[in-house]
Amino acid sequence: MGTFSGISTALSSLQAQRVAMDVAGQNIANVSTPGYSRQRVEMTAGIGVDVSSIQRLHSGLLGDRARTESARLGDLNVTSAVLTQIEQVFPEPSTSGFQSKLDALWSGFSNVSRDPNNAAARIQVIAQANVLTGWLNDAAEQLTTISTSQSQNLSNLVTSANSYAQQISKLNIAIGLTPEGTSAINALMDQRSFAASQLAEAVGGTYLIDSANKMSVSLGGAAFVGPSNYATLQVATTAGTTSVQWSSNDSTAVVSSGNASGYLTAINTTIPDWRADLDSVAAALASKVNTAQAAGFDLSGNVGAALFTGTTASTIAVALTTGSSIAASTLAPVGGVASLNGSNADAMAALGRSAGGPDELYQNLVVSLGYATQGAAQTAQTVQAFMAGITGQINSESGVNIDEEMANLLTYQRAYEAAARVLTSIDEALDTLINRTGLVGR
Amino acid sequence: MTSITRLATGAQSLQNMDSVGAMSKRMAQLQEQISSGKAIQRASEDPGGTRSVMTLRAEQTRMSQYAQNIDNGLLRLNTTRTQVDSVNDQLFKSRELVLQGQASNSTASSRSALAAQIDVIASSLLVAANSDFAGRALFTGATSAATAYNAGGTYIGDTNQVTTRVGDSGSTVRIELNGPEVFGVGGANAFAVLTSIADSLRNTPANLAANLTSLDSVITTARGAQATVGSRINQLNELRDVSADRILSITGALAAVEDTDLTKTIMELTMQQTSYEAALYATASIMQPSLMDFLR
Repeated sequence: MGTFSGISTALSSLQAQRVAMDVAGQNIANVSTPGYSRQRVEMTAGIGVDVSSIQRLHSGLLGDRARTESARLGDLNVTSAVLTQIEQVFPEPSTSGFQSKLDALWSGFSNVSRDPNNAAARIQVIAQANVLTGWLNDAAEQLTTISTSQSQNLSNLVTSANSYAQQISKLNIAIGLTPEGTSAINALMDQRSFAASQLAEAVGGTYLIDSANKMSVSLGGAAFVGPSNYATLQVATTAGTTSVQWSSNDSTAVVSSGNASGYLTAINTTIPDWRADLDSVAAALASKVNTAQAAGFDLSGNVGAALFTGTTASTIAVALTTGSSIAASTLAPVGGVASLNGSNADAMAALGRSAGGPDELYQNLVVSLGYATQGAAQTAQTVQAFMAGITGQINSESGVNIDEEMANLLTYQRAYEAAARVLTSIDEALDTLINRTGLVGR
Repeated sequence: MTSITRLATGAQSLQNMDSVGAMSKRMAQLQEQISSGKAIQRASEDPGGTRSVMTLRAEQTRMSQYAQNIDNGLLRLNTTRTQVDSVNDQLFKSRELVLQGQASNSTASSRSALAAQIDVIASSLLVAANSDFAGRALFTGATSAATAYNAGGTYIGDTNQVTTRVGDSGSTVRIELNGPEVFGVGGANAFAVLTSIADSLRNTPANLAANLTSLDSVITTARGAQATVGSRINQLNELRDVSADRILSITGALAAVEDTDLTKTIMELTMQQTSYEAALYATASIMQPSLMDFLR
């Protein structure tokens, strides 16, 4: 044992405790940093003590599960949000919704039936028909707006997914160049797993870390991020169908989860489906009323003309402008004198109760939309709770606890003090040896 | 799942925020229910209830429409009754005049005076026959002709019925009487009979007996009309009561589905507030202390 070896032992301890205090400080500094994993100093005994590595406390398995669930949740959240927006187009039950407007139209026909020569009652029907077509046009317009905003969201999302992919790829390279077991590589790995979790929420995908610590990401088997390169996605719309494509060859990328999947479902399926239901309400209104009109005679004794034109919610319009055109009578004019019979108007008033009529179709739409919205919100909530459990476990594994860090800090500080005391003791011993011995007879 | 053994400081506050957030969301929902008075704000809150509300509201609108139809029908029938009553009175009066003309002490000049009175009755009957309700001739059937009888006392309306809807399935009630139902048919109608009575009084008193038979048959028709109008008015009055009951029960059903149960909701809100405050208090006391506070 060398004379001065004790000094280097104490020194190694001083250095190790300093590193440990730095790491505790780093942990405390990042107590609220998203994606940060706490670090721990691994010390091994040698001559003195060695800091063998700075460990990053992170479970790859939990990270994987969190990515899968957040991709699922990303999909469900978008679906639920879109349904909620669609539901707002149909504000029911209310006294000012489409149902009450339909009720008013049927009442209007009943008023004409009661009093076929009352011009006010007749013009009221035309006015109410205009209210209905106005509402239908507006609802169709709102659905278009929702669809457009989802397309916008999708293209923003794809842009940020591309930037996350690029980030992961760059971090892969940086991690390859950084020595293992250091704070620096830990920080890079935290950044990479944060980028991966954001990417998973956006587009889903499969995440693998190879033996060389490179993360690769694939979508439906096609590589998005490789060990040293990355691909780019783009949004394309062909023949009315929107898809996410690989920019390199314009082939469709498989996006089965994440926000992107939610947006794609909304744009390609959900919104068109509800629009089709709305269109069938408009078509039923037009066909039922027009058929009934054609079966009767108006105030001038002519066969009733179609009240509505157009068969979709966006194109339906009122064709008649004068109240006298309402075909209230079932009886043909006799000798040029029109009949004041109101039976046909009465039949039109009853259209509100007809099977397959606009009322029934509209009620079915509202109710099934209600169930769909409710179901989507509940599913999202369930996955949210599951996700919270996983986040809890990740936090338990990787999150910073200030109490724990303070206790560590105390330990390291005391150890540092003790090592310093050791140094002082050795110094004093050496002082005794060097300066005070061999002085006999001086 | 592994159990959570260590708690990260950040996670603690996140979890607390989640549960406090969920509570304040539920409170907002309850407050909305109380302030709007409606238990269902959106279809997704209760899709089944939404369907009930929509169908009940449609039914409510229909029932009030039927109630209006009944009131309108009653107005028209009451006007009809007034006219039919006066027609009956005048026909009775003309019967008395015929009897006076047949009396043994009647003279040519007295009969001529009676004939003049018959003429007056005939023209006043024509006014009654051409009377209108809300701009529409009362006794014309379903035509849009402005009058039921022309100046010669010939019926120019039709015999199509005018009905009004008082219920959902097939329930319509006739709310008019056409000319022939009140005044008799064709050549035997009141106007033709009165014309021939006036003629007999002036020229051929011998025909008065035959005239009286014709007049009696006209009177029978008019009295029948009186009875018909009366029974229809009764029918509509009863229907009005039924419809009022129906509207009341629909309103009740609607309130049960869509109105906020205030007692229940306010109680739930109070409970929610209590747990919200407790959660806030707990969050505040959990998040405050750390070892930092005790190390100096």
